[in-house]
Amino acid sequence: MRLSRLVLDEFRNFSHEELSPAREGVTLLRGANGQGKTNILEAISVVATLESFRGADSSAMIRQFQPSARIGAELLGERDHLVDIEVVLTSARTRAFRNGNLLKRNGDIVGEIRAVAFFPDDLDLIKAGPAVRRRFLDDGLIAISPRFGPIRSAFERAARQRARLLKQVGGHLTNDLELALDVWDDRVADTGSRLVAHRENLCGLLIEPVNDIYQRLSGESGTVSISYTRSWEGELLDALVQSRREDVRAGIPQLGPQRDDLAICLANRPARSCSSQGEQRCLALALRLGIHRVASEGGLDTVGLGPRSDFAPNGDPPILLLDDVFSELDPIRSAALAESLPAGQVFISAAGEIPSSLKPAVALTVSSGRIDR
Amino acid sequence: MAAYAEPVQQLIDEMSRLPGIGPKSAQRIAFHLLKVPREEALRLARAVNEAIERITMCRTCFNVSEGDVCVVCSDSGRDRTVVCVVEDPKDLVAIERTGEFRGTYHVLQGVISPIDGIGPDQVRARELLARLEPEGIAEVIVATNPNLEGEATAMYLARLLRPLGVVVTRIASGLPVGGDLEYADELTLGRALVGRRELSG
Ligand SMILES: [Zn+2]
Repeated sequence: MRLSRLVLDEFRNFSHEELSPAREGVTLLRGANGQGKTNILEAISVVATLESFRGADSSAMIRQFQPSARIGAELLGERDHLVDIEVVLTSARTRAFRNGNLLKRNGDIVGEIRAVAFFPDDLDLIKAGPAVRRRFLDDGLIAISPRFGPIRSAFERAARQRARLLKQVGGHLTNDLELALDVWDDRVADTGSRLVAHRENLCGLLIEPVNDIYQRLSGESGTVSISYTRSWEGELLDALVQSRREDVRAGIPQLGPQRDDLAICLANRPARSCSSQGEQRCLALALRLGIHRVASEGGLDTVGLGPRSDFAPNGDPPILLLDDVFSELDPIRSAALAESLPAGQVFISAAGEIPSSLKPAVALTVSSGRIDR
Repeated sequence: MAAYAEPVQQLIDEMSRLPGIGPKSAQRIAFHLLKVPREEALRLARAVNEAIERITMCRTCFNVSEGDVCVVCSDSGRDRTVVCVVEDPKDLVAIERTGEFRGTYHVLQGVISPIDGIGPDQVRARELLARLEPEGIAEVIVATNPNLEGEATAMYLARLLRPLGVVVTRIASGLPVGGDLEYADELTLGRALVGRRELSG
């Protein structure tokens, strides 16, 4: 599926605007900061995943003093097959429609189109805590296959149940509690092992594309290593049982997939501590582009999420959303990025200079909530 | 803002407390009841009243019942050695409809879910334990919903009951994961029941 039209009603700073992006290649959104460029990219991410890539909740995406916001997307498949997606956001809930029909489960539209986003905060992938990197892997897996969504939520719910139980017991391990913990340990281990297997597979798949992209962007030959770091050893179930006493005493789980990390090194040194700001930016971008490449090329059997044809019958790559990417990179790296953009639909927002080698198929200007050609 | 007359507002408030009914639907239903022939609305009021007054809980299996003992428990033709554990009376009805089950039931009235503050003591697990010996129960079929809490509850019961020499089985998968028993068609549910397996773990 390709995005052929996007309509925004009362979304962020737009009252009613629409745009028709390029079917292939770059759609450039130009304009000063604070005019609404990022909001357009955000709207596309909501159509793809029902979530803002900025992690904003729905009330933040509704224009001031309005009860609801609406994002309409026209998707074009093979032989001009059209699908109309509509996402209606109110502060209480999000509803999704396909061809005018309200979907029973919102998740049913996830995967109609896929999206991978890079935004300025992505420097956090290198600098911030493990939560950001776990989310990077999980978002990446959803961009690869929407089937990962239920796997993640199953684990999150099981982990929440177990954590709540630990909190409730007040530090004392009784026979009754042992029995209840047996059950939740088992659920957390079952759902968590599946989750981690997918994350680890993805790490393996990312190494080659991330190295290739990083070297292309930076012009340097330093090797990037990406490895998943578990917060436990051996089987997850055994580890949970072993840490039970400590978990009960502390009232919070000491280990598990919710405490894992992704170790990223550049030339054998931790990227966080040793790389320059420029290298770190470049690396963060290479990580996102790496996800995009893995998702474009399939490789899903290896992530264990089933054949690619199940969810992307027309084989379209995910939409790539690059927010303010050129202000983050020096001119040489910017030019290298412009020359090595992947195939498919690419949206780029830019406030300042763009490299001369960037040849947008469609260029739009965004100014105070208006979109003009 | 003009307020509704007190009795109208009260009716709307009560309606909006019902599951699945938002404030707008509550308003619509309330005004519908005030508009239809008086007799029709009073019939609803009487039905609610009757149900509340006459229906209690079966003291054996916690099914809804019109007396101390429900229709299933008082049926002498049922096999007392097999008990099917369900989350609520709606699931009991769904299993009855398959025509595949001739044993008795045990209605848990919920599933274990720490997030909702529901532990083993809040579901009727101990009451099931107490039924085993006096009733000579040999097999317990756990037919909780195939979602996280339903599976956890099934496993809890297996660990609780197995040491007492009872065979604990689980209805076969094949029901959609995360799906609800009460919405499964009779054929699928019947097959899940026939294809039950002993719970391990
Ligand atoms: Zn009964």
